[in-house]
Amino acid sequence: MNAAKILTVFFFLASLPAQAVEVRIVQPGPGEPILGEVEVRVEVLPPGTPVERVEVFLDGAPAGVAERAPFRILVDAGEENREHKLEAVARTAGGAQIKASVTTPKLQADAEVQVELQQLFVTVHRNGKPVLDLTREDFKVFDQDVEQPLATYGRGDAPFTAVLLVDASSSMAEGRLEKALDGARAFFAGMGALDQAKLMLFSDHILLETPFTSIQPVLTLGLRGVTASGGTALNDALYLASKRLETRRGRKIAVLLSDGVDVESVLSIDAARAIARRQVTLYWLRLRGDSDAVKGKKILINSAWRDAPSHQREIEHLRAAVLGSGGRIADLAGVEEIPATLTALLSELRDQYVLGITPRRTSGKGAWHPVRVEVRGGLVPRTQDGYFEP
Amino acid sequence: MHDATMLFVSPVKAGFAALFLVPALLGAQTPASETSFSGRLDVTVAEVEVFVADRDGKPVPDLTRDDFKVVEDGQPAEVTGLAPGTSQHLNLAVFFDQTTLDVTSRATALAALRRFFEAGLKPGDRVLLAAWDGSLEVRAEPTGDPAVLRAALDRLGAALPSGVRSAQERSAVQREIHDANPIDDEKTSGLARSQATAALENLRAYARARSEEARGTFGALQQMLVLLGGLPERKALLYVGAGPPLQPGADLFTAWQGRFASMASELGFSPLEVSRYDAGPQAQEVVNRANGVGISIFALALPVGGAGARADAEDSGRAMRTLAAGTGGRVIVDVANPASFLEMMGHDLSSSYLVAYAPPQTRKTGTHKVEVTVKGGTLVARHREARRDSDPGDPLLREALATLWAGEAGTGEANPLRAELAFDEQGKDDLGRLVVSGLVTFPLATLAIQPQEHFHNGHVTLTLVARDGKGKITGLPKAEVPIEIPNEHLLSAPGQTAGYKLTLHLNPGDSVVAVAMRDDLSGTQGVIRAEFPSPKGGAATRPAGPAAPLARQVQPLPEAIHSSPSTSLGIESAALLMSGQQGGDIPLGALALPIPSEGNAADRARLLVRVRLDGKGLLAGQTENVLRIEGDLYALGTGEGIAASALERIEIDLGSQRAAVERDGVDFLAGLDLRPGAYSLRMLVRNLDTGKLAVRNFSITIPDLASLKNAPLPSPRPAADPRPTARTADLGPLDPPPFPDDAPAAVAANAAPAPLPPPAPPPETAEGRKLRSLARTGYREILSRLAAGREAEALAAVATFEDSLLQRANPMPVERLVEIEAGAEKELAGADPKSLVPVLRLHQRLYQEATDRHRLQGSTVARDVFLLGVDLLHASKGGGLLAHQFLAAFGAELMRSGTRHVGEETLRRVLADDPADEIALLELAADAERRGDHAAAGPPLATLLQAHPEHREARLRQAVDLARMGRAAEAEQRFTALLADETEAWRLALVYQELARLRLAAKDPNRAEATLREGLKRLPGDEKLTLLLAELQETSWLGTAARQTVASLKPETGGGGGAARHRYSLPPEEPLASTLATLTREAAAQRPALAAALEKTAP
Repeated sequence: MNAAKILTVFFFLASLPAQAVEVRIVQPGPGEPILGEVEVRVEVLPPGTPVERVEVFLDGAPAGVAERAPFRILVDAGEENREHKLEAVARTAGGAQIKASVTTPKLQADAEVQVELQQLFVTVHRNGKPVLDLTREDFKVFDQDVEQPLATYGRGDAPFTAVLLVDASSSMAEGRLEKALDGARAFFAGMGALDQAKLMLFSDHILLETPFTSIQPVLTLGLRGVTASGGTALNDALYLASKRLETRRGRKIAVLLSDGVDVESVLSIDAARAIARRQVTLYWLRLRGDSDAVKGKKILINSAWRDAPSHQREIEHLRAAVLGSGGRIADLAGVEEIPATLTALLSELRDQYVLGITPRRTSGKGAWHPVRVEVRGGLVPRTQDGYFEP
Repeated sequence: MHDATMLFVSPVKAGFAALFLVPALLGAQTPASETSFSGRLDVTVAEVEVFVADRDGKPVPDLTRDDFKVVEDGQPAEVTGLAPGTSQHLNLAVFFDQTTLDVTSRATALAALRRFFEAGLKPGDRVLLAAWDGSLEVRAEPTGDPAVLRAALDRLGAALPSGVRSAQERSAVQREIHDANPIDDEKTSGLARSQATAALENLRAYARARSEEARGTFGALQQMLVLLGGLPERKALLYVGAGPPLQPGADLFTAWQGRFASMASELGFSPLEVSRYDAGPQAQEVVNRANGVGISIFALALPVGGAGARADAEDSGRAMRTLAAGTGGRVIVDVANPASFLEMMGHDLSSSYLVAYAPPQTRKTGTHKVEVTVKGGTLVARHREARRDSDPGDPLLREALATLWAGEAGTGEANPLRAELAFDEQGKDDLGRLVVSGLVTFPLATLAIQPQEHFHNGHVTLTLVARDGKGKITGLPKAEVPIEIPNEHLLSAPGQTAGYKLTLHLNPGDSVVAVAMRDDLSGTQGVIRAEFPSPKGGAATRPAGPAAPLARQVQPLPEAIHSSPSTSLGIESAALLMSGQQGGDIPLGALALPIPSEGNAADRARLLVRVRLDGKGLLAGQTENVLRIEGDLYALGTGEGIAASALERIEIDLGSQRAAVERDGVDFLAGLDLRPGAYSLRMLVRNLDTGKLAVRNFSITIPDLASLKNAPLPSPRPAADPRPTARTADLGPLDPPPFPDDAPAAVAANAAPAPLPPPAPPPETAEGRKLRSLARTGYREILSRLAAGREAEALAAVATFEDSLLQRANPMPVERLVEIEAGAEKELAGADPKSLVPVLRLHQRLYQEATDRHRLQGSTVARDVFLLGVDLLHASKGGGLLAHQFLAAFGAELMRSGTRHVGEETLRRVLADDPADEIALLELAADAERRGDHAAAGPPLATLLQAHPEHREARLRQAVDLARMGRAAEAEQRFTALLADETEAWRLALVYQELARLRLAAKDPNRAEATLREGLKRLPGDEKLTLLLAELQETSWLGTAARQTVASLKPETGGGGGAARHRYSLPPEEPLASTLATLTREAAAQRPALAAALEKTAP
């Protein structure tokens, strides 16, 4: 026997024989219908084949181009439930064209029903402690008062995207802001690798906004030397935070850390709330303390823009927005409670149940779907009170 | 699952296939680029194992260091240490060559090995038993357990040896040559030629096959050496077999030529042909590798088919001698009783000496000839004949193999790349082996990357070896994982994972897989080991311990400040640079100067950059004596692509430079070649020991190259740097210019005045008169400092003075203190009323400070003393105007500090003096508006506009008040009028906001939108106008448009209209600031008057 052959027989890995260049549409997968904006993924084999670009055609019309691997193209398949033909054309450096195509089927359904996964993030506590041993069967979800089967069920480690909104107005002077920022740092340090966050410091306008990232120094880099000054435009900041979260996927939260009353926003809390209701869970860490502006829960302040009753109404609506989102208000007696509260919030997020439902779209885009979750054993869950139909 | 996270990996080599372990093991075939990462080992001590015997071949115990003489490359080397070989445990690899043994010789060998394993091993010794039958099969992990070894030997005895086949083939060729007809006449010559040709062809085939076998055997021996080299402590390799021939068939070619000499040329035979089949070079490679890893080879060449039956035996023996002699081992050929040989080897190994020596300094690299003599040559010393500087074998492969064996031996894993290994069984192949897909993953966060224009790339090389259920070794010697991270994804990259997929074919049974990886940019290397199937059911990486910190050798720096370029940086640094964020712990400043470029970059300018790092910030928390700094500089073009970068690592010896760094900071100078255009220059600095960092961004424009001809000249490099300075290697001969204030700091002419000692505490007597007298004296003393121009000192002193009286055990009442200070004012006013001006300014400031610091009693005293003083000044001749200004400014300050009633009263006094006073009127109007009492704001604004019809702020406030009171038409009219001539950003922003709101309230969203768009044209990026527009779009179901509207919104920096409402809520700063400036000036001017008055009124 030839010795070299002996060697090659026994020292091997799976051998991929030399092969011609091949193009595959790997997403959408076989038999998968497409609707709306979808990502098309194309693979050129063998990997490393020099490709100038990959073009994707949807129903014969150019839909997008990717010039380097991984070849991912976002195409809009429209809202109509029908068959589509997707074609991928790879143009190699040598001028060759290699094609692949798939025909995506129409969504099979008994009736013309559009469905989209709606996720609910549910916190369940008993005597102030999280209840972590619930099963899928322990939950009932009602959408518009109709019980929905759970399409997905999970707990704990779903990554989140958070915006930390920290009030840096003059009311946060004398060390309060520093404590709040310490809390923000602790929050960022406790995030998981796939969690992402953005920090927004605001007073009467946005003072600092970081990009969404999981890299802690990016989030905290600009905090040195920040001083508390200026008025408070909480609604504006919350609106912007909610808009920033709008395009993010998965679990989205906004954490508001403020002690002040909004006197200088150009937007109402209802404007911010309307955006936040789109799948953003709000948490409000409210620093308490009687001042000329606030006595207990009573707002006394007037301003050039709102009178005291208006301010009172704004506060009440903010409170409703937080509770309706499935979040909560943490009343803090002092700034020293901030870091621990934010750390506890991280734990709470990890302890949440993530329930997915695919309710019928019946009421048209933008229609409000009230949602109710019931838990076996009489436990009272906390989750969003509904969602807007996409 | 993993696919979803492998967003940025370009697995261009994922199809890497048909790679074989052996070729990579052969150093000659290892790509040259590989070695650049292997690191250089500077040998300071070498070790050689010496087997010493007397003239009768008996081991000699109890030798000392002085008995040994070592000569390397002809030069004597100092022997630095001596230890008995038994001081280290032995790892013995047994290479059992089935390809050269027959059943009989194998049985003999196995019996001898059994005895040796039972009696010849010392506690702690381990044997790695491998069989070679064309593939290398490891029969047991390194073990000293005789039972395990016995079982392994039993398995060896069950397989068929193939050596007899070689002997038969050889005999057949030999017979063919021997039996061929002689060439003695014409008749037989044709037949003879035919036989000669056939014999030659068969001989060639035999020689070729044997040669390939021999080369394969030497390759496998090298592989064993690599396997063994990964184990700790003393190592030896024992070859058991008939020995591979060095020149297979050489004697048969000679016989053929002897028989057919006359036809040789005709048939194309040359005696040189024998060299084609020479496996000598491969044997030498084995020797070299063994010497590279310090392994002695013992060889037991057993006869096949009885002693002398195989004519290749002598040649095989020569191969064995080559291996043994070159490595200090021992060889015996054709022994009938191998047990005695093994006994001898055991004696050798138990009586050897490990001699440590310092190799002589030489420029020669590679192989060094080693000679050892013992007791002047009276004893026989056997040892390896050469030492190699370092083994060129792939360090990753060595690491993976070492880890493969290390599992039970407990060698710890180092996994700084935090890699994981997971398997998934896919079924079986045609040969019944398990097809297992594996996935090696590692988080991108651990990798070093280097900047390209629109992405950052990284590169990981990995080696995988597996030992399957049959002990077969398979592997992937080298796989490359290029990684490409688009710049826009850097911020989320650390949470992402890169991966490499592969497929293994494993014989059923317990398999072990080890993967060694190297981040090629940082040189960080790690290894992981996993078992398949996993002991816990699911296949996964064995949990690795925490990432081992990379050992950092602290070595003296070649110079006090050492700067070296870096090719890579961490993902975090890259993300920070690209994020646009700035700040951090280390204050830094920078300046840059574009100059014409030279050389090849004719279309670019050279941008010289000087970055100054604050010394105290750099050193905060520093404990190491060497300050290590990462300095990264990016120039981002308009499309956010990286146009140029400079990455530098700076080391500063703090032993000599600490004081200079602390005092002057560190300058980092760099040069970037850039085309004309606008850039964002981004710099990151990090203390690599403390982790403290700073990032700064600033914009710079590179002008047309033509205009650079007149650019200011950069600085010539100074003979000596005025402060610790690091320069990038490619900076060139010219330095960036110094900072404007870099001239040597003049020594302050006068040292700062020593802080005033607190006044002596008032005596603890109840005599108020005495206390008042002391207080009066103290107060006047403070005023004398004020008169001397030491206002800050006086300010601090008066606060201390007052607190010492107000907070003593028996405190002085506030009223009494006011009386004392006001009494002093009265005296001064009597001497010269103008002398009150600096005193009033002092108390005005004192009030502000006391309010800020919550010194409540202090603020009351300051306020009352001030107001009494103002009255004195107002009553004096010519003092009315100043008194009025003092009162207006003070009234405004009272309103702003929340003392509204006193403030309003004060302002009313001002208005009584001057009904059109701007400060007082605006202050009162703003106060009313803050309280939501828009009607109350009307009269002061009307009064102001009557006196100053074009007062813009008053006009704006009036319009806002009208709007708030529901008088929309009037308000809109006034707002529209304001737009025509307003230029101040905050007022403009507010006008547009209010107009848009009015139009929305009037259910006219189109006009409202037009208003906002017009406002944004005049005030691009205004936060509030942008938000209002987005909200308007939102309510019109244009959510996407709203998103786009706010997409580019960035925090406003100074002067924007975003804070217009806040500005509106506050009274105007400008008139107040102007008045205060006037008062400050006047106070300074009247200090001599105060000095004179103090002197005049001195007791």
